[in-house]
Amino acid sequence: MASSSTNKFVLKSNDDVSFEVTEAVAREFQVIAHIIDDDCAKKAIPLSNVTGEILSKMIEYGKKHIEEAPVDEEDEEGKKKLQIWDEEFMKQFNMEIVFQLILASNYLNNKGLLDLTCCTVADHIKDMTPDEVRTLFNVKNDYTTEEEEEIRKENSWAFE
Amino acid sequence: MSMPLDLKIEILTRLPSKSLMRFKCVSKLWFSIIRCRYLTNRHFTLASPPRSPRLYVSLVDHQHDCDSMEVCHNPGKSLLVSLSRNNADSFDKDLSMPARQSLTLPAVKSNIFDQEVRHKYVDYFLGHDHVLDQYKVVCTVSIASNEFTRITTEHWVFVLEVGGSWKRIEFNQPHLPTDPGASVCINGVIHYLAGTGSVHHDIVVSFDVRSEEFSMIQTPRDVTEITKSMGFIEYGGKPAILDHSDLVDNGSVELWVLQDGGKWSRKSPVLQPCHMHLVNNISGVLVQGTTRNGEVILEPLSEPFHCCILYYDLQKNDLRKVEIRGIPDQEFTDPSIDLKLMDKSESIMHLEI
Repeated sequence: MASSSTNKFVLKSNDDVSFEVTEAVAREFQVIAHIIDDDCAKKAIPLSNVTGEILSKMIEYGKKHIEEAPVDEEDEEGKKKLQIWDEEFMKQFNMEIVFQLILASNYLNNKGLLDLTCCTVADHIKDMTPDEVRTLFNVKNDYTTEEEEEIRKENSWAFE
Repeated sequence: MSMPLDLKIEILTRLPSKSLMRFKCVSKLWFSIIRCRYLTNRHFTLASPPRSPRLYVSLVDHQHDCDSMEVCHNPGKSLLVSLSRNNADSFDKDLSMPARQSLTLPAVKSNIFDQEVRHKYVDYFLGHDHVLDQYKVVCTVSIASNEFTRITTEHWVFVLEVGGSWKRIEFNQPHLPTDPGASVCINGVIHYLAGTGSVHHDIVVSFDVRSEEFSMIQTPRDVTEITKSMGFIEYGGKPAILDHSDLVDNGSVELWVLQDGGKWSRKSPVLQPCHMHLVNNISGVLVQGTTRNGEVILEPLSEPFHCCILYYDLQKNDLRKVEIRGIPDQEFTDPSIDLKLMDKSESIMHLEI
């Protein structure tokens, strides 16, 4: 049996873009690892919920985390280096892309990327007003003016 | 953009408490997500950045009738309760938390408090049952005749959740809690010291928060009477009595630890000579609690009032002093401090009754 570094798989996005990746990178995504384990990875693995644009970014992330994986739990320097790379990596995206990355990393089950993308959103919105949050998440305000005022009053310290 | 609920929760758990309290205004759905226990519990494990333990200090004008605080630790979080220890007919109890809520519990409808007797006490204790993740407040109402020869006690418990109400609990050992502040909650059991009115018969009262049952155990035979120079602490995960009457003069303390099976073990640590200067110029100390890493918090008693605290690590036999600065001294004529140590993470749990 070929080793996971030479074994290749093809991942196919929902807009028909194909990416050839090593088994190790493919296994970064739990769902794909299961497909491989179940021996269902015949030709290309179709991923119906992910676009080519998003998939290419996820593969970039997966590759980096395979190549630069910290040696062990104690490898603080390695962890730090990867963390800096993560931060830089996220800077290139607008919120719409970050949201799509959250959905895709949840779908393909990559805990690290899910955590990273959720943290990015949290960091982005933490100082926002409720109104800005509504716009970003497309949430309709279903409070009456009085109701909203009351909740504001109860939590007035959070608006300072 | 729309986002499934579970992923919204993933994002929200990574927000600071302040943002979460503000985002309750976003919509009714967000309001209920932010208040649900699943999110508040997840918020602990994820969002709380490591912080040094914090001490909540309340400075009060008089030693008596003071506001006091009660802290309950459960693995990873703690709840702070401040209570108004009114000696009159009001049994109100305010609860406050890092989410800066305040709510008042309904009054206990005591059957004995109206009796014409000399001594009347109302004591509150707070505990957590980690199996059902419930906080409960225990109220002990006690009355006693002039010489404390006849004591009558009543017990009530309140589950801190929607629809909570005071429920009477039976326990047929009348007692007076000795120091209301000195209770510990370990592994879902509240322990406190109490006197029974007879000499040589002080007890440790234990309340199992889950089963809501009381039990008691006699204090060690060598402890003839619980005095002001004793404190009730947590030592190595067990309740313990600390006698510090000899701390200032000789640097020695006596420690009785309640072992499993109800046996008391005794230890007699002595301060290192290099620490003796920390207890100079004070008349005594008061035990104010135990930190999560096992240090006992001691409040030095001195004239004039000097705001500082001592941390005593009984395991390592190490004593250190921490000054508290920035307290306006004009406003208080007879100041004393009341302090409680909070966990390093904070709860955003919503309180509702």
